[in-house]
Amino acid sequence: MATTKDFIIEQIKRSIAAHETSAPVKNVGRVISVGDGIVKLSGLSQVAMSEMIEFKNKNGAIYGVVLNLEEDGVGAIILGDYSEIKEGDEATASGRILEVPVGKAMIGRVINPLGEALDGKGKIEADTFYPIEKIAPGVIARQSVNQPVQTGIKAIDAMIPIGRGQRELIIGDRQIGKTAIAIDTIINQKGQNMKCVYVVIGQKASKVANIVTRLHKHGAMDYTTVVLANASDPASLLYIAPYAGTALAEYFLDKGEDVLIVYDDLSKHAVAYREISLLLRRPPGREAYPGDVFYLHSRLLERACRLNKEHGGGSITALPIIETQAGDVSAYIPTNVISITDGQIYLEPDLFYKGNRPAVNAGLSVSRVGSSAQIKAMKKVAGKMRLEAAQYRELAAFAQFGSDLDVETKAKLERGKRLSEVLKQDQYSPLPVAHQILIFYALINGFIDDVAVDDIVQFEKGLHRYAETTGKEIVRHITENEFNEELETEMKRLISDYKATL
Amino acid sequence: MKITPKQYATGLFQAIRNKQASETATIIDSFVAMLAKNNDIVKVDKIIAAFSALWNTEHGIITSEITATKDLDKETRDAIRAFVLRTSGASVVEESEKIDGTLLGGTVIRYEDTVMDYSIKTKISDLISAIKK
Repeated sequence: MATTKDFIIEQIKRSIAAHETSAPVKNVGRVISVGDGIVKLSGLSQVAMSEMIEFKNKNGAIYGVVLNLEEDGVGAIILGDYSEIKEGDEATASGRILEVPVGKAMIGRVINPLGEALDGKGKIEADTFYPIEKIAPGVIARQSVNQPVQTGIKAIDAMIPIGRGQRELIIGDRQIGKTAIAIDTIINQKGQNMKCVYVVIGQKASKVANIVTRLHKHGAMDYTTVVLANASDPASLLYIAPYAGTALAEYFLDKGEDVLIVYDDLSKHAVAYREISLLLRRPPGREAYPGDVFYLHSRLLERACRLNKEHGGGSITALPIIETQAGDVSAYIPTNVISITDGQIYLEPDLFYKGNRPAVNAGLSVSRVGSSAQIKAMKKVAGKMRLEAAQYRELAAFAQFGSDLDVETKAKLERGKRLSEVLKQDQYSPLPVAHQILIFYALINGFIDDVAVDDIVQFEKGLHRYAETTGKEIVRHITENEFNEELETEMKRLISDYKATL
Repeated sequence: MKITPKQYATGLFQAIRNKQASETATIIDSFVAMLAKNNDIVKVDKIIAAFSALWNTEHGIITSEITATKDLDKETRDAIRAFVLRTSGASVVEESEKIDGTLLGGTVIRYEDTVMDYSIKTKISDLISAIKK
C-alpha cells in the first residue's frame, strides 16, 4: 500500500505542513573594500567573532570568516576565490560559527580544509559538522599518557618515546627528514588501532603528491586522511587547515578512538596568520608576527589529549613540525612551539650529512612524558641504551685528544660506534617494536661487539629475518609478556643461534 | 594634525545643537570657511555622510526600504511602518519603496543592516531545498 498515489500525496502534504520557514530576519552588510583575501564590510552589527558570512553571486555562495570586529565595520577573510567579490556586494551573516564536515567517509581521502575532495574520487557525503575552533578538554576529562605510539623508528621509540595523547614537536632545518619521520610514523600505524590525519600547510604540491603515493603504496591510506592546503592556496585556507584537521580528529576522538595528527608545518601556518593579521591592520610584534601568535598554536595543540574512561577514552596525539632557519631554535615561532609541546625531536644537519639517518640528536631531543609510554620490555633495554648513548657522546669528544685509552674506555667507544650504527634506519621501513627490542638487547649485552662496525647493518637485517622465520614465538612473547628471565634466556638463545648460522 | 570627516561632522553637530535656524546659517558659513582654510573641501561628501549618520542616530531616525510586487496601499504601509518602528526601537522611519515583480508576493523589509524577507519567492526556494533533503 505504500506506493499508492494517495499515500504519496499525503506524504508530500505532511512534509510541507511540517516544514517551517527559516527565520526571515537577516543581518546584512556591504563590502567597503576587498583585496588580498581580506574584505572590509559595513553593517553586520549582529555578527559574531569567527562567524561565517555568505557572499551570494550567480555561481553560488562564497564564504568568509569574521576575524575583526571594529567600531564601524567588520574585517573578514574569504575562504575561496575573492576575485568574484566586488565593492558594494551584499554579505549575509549566517549565524553559524565556521564548521567543517567530518565523518568516516573522509578516511582515505585527500581533502581541502573545507572538507571538499581534492583527489578526484567524487564528492564526500558527510552530514556531521564540527566547529573549527573548540575549547580543549579540561583537566577533569583527561588522563595521563600511558600507552605508546609506535613510530617504528628505532632512535625515537627507544630514546624519545611518544605516548598516545602527547604532543611531540619535530624540529630541524629544511631537507633533513622532518616529514620523513612523520610519514614513517603514519605508515607504522597499520594494525595499531589508530586513525591518522596528515595536515599539509603550505607545502609544494609535488611533494604532497609524492607523499600520498607513498602512503597508498604502503596501505596507509586505509586509515589516513590528508588535509591539504598547498603553497598556492590563499592564506585563509592555510590558516584554518590545522584547525580543520583537528576538528576531524575530534570526531574520531568523540567515538573513543585514538588519532595521530601531523601538522606539516606550523612555521608556514604562523606565516599565513602573519599575512592575514597584517592585512587586517593588526599591530605587528616581534618578527612582525601579531601579538596572539602564541595563542594561535597553544589553542591548537591543547586540543591534543588523552581522555579518561568516563569521557570515551580516546586520544589525539599531535606531531607538529617546525622548520628552523640555519638551525636557529631560538627564533620566535620555534621557542613558542617548543614551550607548548611535551618534548621535541631535534634533527641535526651535521648528523644527517654524516649519514646518521634519521638525524635525531639524542642529546637535545626529549620526551617529557618519558618511559611511562613504553612497553615493559622496551623500558628495560632502552634505559640502559640511553645511558650508553650518553656515555659515548661524552667520551667521543674527549677521546679525540688522546690515543692511549684504557680498555674500558675503548670498549665504551666501540659499543657507541655500534649503537649509532644500529640507530641508522632507511626511510619507509619502520621496524616492529619486538624487533627493535631484539636488536637493542643484542647490543647492550655485547652480542655484537665482535661484529665489525661496517657489517652491523647486514647483521641486523639477518637477525630480523631469522627472528621472522624461526623465532616467531619469541617475537610474540616480547610484545605481549612481562620482561622476565625466561624471556631473556629465550632472546639470548635466539641471538646466539643466529650468530651460529653466520 | 589631520582632522577626519567624522571629527568634522561631530564638531558641526555639536555646534548647531539646540540653535535657531538663523544661528545655524552663520555656524555653517564659518564651518565651510574653516574647511576651505584647512584645505579640506574635498572631504565634504564624507563629512555630509558622517553628519547625516550622526544626525539619524541622535534623533532615532532610521531609513527603511520596502520591496513589494506592486504599489502598497496606505493601510499596509502604516502597518509595515508600525512594525518596523516596533522591531527596531527607532522613533522615526524614513521610507522608500521599490517594486520587484520577481518576488511573486509578500514583501522584503530592509532597515539599517537588517533584512526581513517575507517574500513568497524565498519561501518557495526554502521549501524546495527542504523537500530535496
